[in-house]
Amino acid sequence: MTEQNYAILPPGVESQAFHNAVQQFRQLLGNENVLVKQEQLVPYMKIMMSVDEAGHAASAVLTATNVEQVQGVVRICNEHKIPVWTVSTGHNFGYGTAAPHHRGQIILDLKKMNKIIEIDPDLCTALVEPGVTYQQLADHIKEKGYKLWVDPPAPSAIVGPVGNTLDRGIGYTPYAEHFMFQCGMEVVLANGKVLRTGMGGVRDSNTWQVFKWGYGPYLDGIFTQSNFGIVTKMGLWLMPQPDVFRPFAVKFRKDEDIKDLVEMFRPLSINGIIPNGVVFAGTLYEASVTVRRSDYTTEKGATSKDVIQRIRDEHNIGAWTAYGALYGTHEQVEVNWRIVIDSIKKLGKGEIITEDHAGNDPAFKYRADLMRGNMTLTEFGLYNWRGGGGSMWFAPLSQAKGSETVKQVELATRILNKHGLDYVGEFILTQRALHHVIDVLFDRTDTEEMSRAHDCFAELLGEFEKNGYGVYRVNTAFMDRVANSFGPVQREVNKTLKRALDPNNILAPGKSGIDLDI
Amino acid sequence: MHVTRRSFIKGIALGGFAGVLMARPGRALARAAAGVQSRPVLALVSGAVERSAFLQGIAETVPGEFLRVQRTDHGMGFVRDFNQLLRSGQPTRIIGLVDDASAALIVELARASGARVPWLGYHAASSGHSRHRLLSTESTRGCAMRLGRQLSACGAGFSLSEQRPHHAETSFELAARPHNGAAGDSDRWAAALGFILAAPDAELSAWMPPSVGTRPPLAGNFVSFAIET
Repeated sequence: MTEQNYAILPPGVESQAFHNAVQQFRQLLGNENVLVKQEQLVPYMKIMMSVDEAGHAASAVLTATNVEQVQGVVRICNEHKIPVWTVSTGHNFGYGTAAPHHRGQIILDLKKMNKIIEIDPDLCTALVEPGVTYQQLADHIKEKGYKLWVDPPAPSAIVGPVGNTLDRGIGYTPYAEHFMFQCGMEVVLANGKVLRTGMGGVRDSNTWQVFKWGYGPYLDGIFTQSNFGIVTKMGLWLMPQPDVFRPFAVKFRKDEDIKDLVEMFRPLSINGIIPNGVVFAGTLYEASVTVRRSDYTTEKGATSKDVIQRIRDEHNIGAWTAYGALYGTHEQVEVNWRIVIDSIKKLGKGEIITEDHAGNDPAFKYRADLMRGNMTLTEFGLYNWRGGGGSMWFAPLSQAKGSETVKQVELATRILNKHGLDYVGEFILTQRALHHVIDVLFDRTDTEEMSRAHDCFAELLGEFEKNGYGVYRVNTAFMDRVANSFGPVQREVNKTLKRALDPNNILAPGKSGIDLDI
Repeated sequence: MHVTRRSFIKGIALGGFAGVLMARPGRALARAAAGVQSRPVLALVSGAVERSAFLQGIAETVPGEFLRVQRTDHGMGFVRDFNQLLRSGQPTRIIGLVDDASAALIVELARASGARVPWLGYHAASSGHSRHRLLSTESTRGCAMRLGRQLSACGAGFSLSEQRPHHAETSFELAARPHNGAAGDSDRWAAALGFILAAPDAELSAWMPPSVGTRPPLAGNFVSFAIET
């Protein structure tokens, strides 16, 4: 393919017009930042969804290094009506990776906008660009000697706070709800103007990263999980390093124990006794740290209850393992630890495991690292459970009530097993809600299994919706489907905002189901 | 080429194994047919791949002095070392056959560093049968077809599909049932894959992947890649 003979074009754009746009991009960004060769585009195509790569192949990839270049990209895209899919680091794996929503969209990769603009060690705030990773931020904090922690999601080191927060991701420390700890954004709008949200609109303001709300309508939310602008800077709050960090686990042996453990942990979470995102990990999620399915069976289909029980017995894994941590001064942690211990004793079940008891247990170390904000990539073990590169996160919200978790686990397990797949799930408790995250793992080399996984995911969405459950995040292949779950009025309001802010529909059409062409 | 001292040590450990492989008779003939590779090649392997015919296939075309072999994992140490290599500015060809978890990291890190990826393949192998889902580019054009021919010649059952999303031509699919008694040759796909990734332009017709012998065939799921920095 010569560069003038593009195999993939943006939807509705003629070859010559695209070529002209590419030339303009080159002038704006330099040749090295305009990627159109096949081997440069393939790394953006390692998708994990139950669809073919071809449907998510980009026509080109651009990398920008500053805000002015992002404004220039938007101007050229408007001129040629080219849709542009923006990624910060693009490592969100089971939520779609870096591939665009649909074939032909160009990708704007902001990985080179990776400046840590400011960290205030007294106010515990940071202002960063989209390409900054958690590893980079943690290294910078360490280098400066600041007593601050970051809160990465499970892929930690390689992902960044901007992308994860904009997708409303979560972590595992007391700052687990990332959007809650975000403060102030800079956004390039589709008309090329630069908006600073909150206090950022006030000239010479020094409160942009300390007061979220500003004046008038609070706008930051409309730039998360959306396509109304391109976020080029974001403020976030960092957690002061506590004097004492005490991680612990509680193992529960029976499937039905999930009900009681949620009832026990909810008040501890709401009352702030256990301040972090408490995890309730199911057996296979926990097992994936050290076990592969093929160690036990090579049979197609869902893993049998007998095999799951053998894994529990042989690896001393609970039906559910709760992971939490206490943070604070020595005195605070001692008081809270007594409260936790008393609660578990009162419950009359659950095996408490402290850091000392755990020793070198890799599963405990992994969870302790996450709750401490350390970098760890252990969760990648999930991809070896079944193998084959298929992974789609099914992520319904649940009330933090035991009865609800039982209902969701039974429903999800029944549907997954029906399609020959496993329940590999965990809950993350943030006071009143539970993020129920289930990794729908499947083998992409097996077309029949991939088809089953697709049907399974659709059925999960449909059946959960019938029961009044919605997901908080989804991969690109199912975004439009999920937008329907939230009703026609939300869709219409989003479309109205899109029409007003991006009338040419150039910014990431399809993101969260928002697209003027459908 | 040394990634770091840590990986260099690993390279030495596996280098001995690779050295044994390269002592096979007939290697010179194969190289002559293939066109000897004279640029550094880093081969990444994980788990049982280290003991499979994959490295044997690579060794047929890459002289020992240009080949380094490294085990992968999904630990922070590997990520640091690999990132350092990708960003070292040294032109390197990296090929590999690894587990899904390692591959997820490797390909993402390659993308983040701006490296090129002319080949990406997913493979599943069990006794007597293998499945291959491939993404290729202009520079690896024909490789999938060559792999298909080798699979066919080996006699084991297989299915292979190639997607060429940025090619004008359409993608293709191949499949074959196992020939009688061919299950023992089911590891040959790994040898052929190693050969093809190490020398995508080489002529393969003069070379036949060696028989697996007593080694247990490679089974499970794997991802192959070629990365160029």
